[in-house]
Amino acid sequence: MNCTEVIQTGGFISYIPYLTSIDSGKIRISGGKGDAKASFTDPTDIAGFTAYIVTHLSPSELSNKIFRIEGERASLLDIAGYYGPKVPVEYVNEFEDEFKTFLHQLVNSGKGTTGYDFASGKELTGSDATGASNVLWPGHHWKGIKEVLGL
Amino acid sequence: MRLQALLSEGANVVVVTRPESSSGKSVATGIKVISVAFADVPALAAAFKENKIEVVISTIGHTALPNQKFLGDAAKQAGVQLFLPSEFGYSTIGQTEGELGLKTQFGEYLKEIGLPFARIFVSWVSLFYV
Repeated sequence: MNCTEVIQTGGFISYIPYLTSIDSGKIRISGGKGDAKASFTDPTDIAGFTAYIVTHLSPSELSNKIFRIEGERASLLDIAGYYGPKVPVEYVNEFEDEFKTFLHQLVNSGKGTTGYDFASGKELTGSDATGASNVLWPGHHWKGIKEVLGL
Repeated sequence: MRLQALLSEGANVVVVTRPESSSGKSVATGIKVISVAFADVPALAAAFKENKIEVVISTIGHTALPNQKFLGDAAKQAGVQLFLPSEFGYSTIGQTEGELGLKTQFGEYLKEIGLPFARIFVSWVSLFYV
């Protein structure tokens, strides 16, 4: 199998720390209570899954297919819990960074799972459910948030 | 995207970067790196053909999403069998606006030109590595 990969440089950053504004010493939440769950996946699992399916699945299993994977489903308050009581939660109306405000709205309205369908406004089920494609990589241990962030 | 994952599955990997990008320099030795201007569709297609590319994995950044069409056109011309567009985020089906809308439009475009695709949704990435 010959593969090519396209790399575009971007700012490589720690993403959950960005999402939670952890540098402020607090977990900042906007757009809701922070109790809606979203999907979180480790980049090594994303790369591993991608490599696995393109080298193991048949063309008909790959062509024109959607894959929905998930390392862990967690809410922003769950993540705050992982950081522990030393990091208080603070609710804010919005962030200076508009993209972050948009992301918080998405996560806090329950649209941040890999099985959410914007067309119908519902969570999909069966083979389109959140994380339903995880089984295509048999025997793999999908990393959770605490493991990845070392909490 | 971690190249090691592809290499350990036995894939032959070629990295395509833009001439102005420095990311190709950090690729492990032994991996072929080609520098091509993304808007130069014939050059991209020739590079895909020359290297007998079967699968294209696009990890193009969000600011360059409008340019992903060039990669799709080149892959189609070169007879690539599978194109993995730059998704690797939220479920984008049914999205019409913003960045997520661009991803969905590109998915529709791949259908239009008859290039087989696979879209992978991962939602939030726990951590991006340097």
